Amino acid sequence: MKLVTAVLPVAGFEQVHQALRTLGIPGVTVSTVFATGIQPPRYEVYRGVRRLVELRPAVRMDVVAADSDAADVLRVVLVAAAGHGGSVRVQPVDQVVRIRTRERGEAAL
Amino acid sequence: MIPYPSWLNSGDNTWQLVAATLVGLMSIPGIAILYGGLVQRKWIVNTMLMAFTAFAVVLVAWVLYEFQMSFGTPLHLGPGILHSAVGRPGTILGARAEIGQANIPLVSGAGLMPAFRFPQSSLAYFQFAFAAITPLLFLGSVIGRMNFRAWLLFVLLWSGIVYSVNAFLLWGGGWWAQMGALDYSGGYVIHLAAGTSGFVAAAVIGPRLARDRAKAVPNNLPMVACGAGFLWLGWNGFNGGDMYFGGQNASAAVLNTNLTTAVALLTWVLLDMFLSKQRKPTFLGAVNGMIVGLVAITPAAGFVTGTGAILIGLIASVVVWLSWNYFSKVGFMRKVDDALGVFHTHGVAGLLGGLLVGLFADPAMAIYYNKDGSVDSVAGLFHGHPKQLALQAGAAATIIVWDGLMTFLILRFLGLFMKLRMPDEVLETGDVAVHDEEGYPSEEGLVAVGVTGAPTPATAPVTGPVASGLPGGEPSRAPD
Repeated sequence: MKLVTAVLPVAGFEQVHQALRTLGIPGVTVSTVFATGIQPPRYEVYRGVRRLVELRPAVRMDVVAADSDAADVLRVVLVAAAGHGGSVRVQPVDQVVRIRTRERGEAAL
Repeated sequence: MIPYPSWLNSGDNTWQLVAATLVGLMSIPGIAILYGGLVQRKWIVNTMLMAFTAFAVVLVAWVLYEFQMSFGTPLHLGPGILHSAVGRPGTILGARAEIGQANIPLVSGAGLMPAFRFPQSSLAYFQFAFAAITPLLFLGSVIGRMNFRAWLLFVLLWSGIVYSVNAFLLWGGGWWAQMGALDYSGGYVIHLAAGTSGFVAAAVIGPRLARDRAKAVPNNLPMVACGAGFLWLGWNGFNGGDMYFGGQNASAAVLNTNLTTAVALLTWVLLDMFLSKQRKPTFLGAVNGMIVGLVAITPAAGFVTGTGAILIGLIASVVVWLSWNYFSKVGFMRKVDDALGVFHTHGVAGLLGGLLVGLFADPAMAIYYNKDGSVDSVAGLFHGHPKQLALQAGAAATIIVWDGLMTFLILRFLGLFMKLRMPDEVLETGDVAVHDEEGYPSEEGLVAVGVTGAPTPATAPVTGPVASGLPGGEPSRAPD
């Protein structure tokens, strides 16, 4: 099994989420994070003081997929997020357990 | 020495200034935070700034020419309604205009009401608060995409061309007032006007981003609660000050206003509980019901009895609830992106209230007293005066046609010189793209870069918690 983690600008999240749903991925964990490098830094001005915002709000999506599906998930994320930027990483996963049923491995996905 | 001239009554003047302030509080902060809380997180700053700036724009225009256009001597433009549709523009900046006795030439000067007992500046400020809240109300139709520059100019032109005519026709002694049409405190002049103009403006300017429309969830319900509270209690000044005296009619108007509002709020909540799809009471539904009640009683407040007030609340809430839940789903209504539904809660509710006063106005509700002890009052269809309903319908039609047409023309005119709608890439970002500010700034990753200094290189590693006032950056320049 693989853990596919995508860190996306907020504007790109919707499309990627939609694409993954279309692909039939049952579960995804989404968190709001701060990240650099995904979008250019921007400036905000409060009471005349200009401030650089380096860490920009971003969305992190974690999807655990069977080995055979991981490549497809990665491809879908890449296509859907193409206009927005961000990054995706894929890591191996040792074990997945569904707490309620105690199913393990790919059966628990 | 004496403190003030003999025509001045300190009680009446005090009430008028308090009422004016209450109406002002409905705009600032009332509407600013009500709408600020109802919009998406990324549009809070834009919404609140549009509200504050419009309030300021209207006051400057008001003293320079608009007050006289709304309440001054008539400008005879032609026969019929054109003979008294708008006043002659002029300033009220001089000492005499500010401290002299208030006067509306075609109303108080014509013996249609007792002489004012407060100075012109009280009348001007009180009426300014009404002129200012009207553009703020239809702001709810155009938030989330309207170009800020276009907004400032639109408010300026709309207020001068459209509002002053509305006010003159019904309150300044203009044609519809002479015919006998009634608008106690702005059901037509303000709310029907805001509903109509907001709807037309939303259609001309174009919709928000499709994604924003689909995800338009409010960002702060407690802020909505504060704004809604300012509206409800502020309305005591709105309807309580409009007969210009701290007398029996003001008291009745205030009680009726609250009564209708309570009934309309409860009606909306009950409809949500028993007839909506999810069968649950909702807070935002209650706020809608509250606004519907406030708006619907506005044209009737001191003209109807408590029974009339209860019936108006009930009828208006049911009709607007149906309009909100069903009529809004009709094809062309869906196409126009009236963001906060001003069409329903102000347009439909204002129209209904205006028509219902033609039914329920009760001659026993004394507005003023004559020297012989008889009362000066008005009657509707249920009290033997069916013509009142026709007058109410005629005045409503005038407001709808004039406001709709002129809103369309003003925006088309401004559209020749500027984009009315912000470009899509700005709409994607929202507040930060338009104002360099956001509603809830985060401290994470923030580096002060000094007022004029060169920006910190974007590639610099971020070490440790970064907050404002880093060494090297300007500390805080805030003057307090």
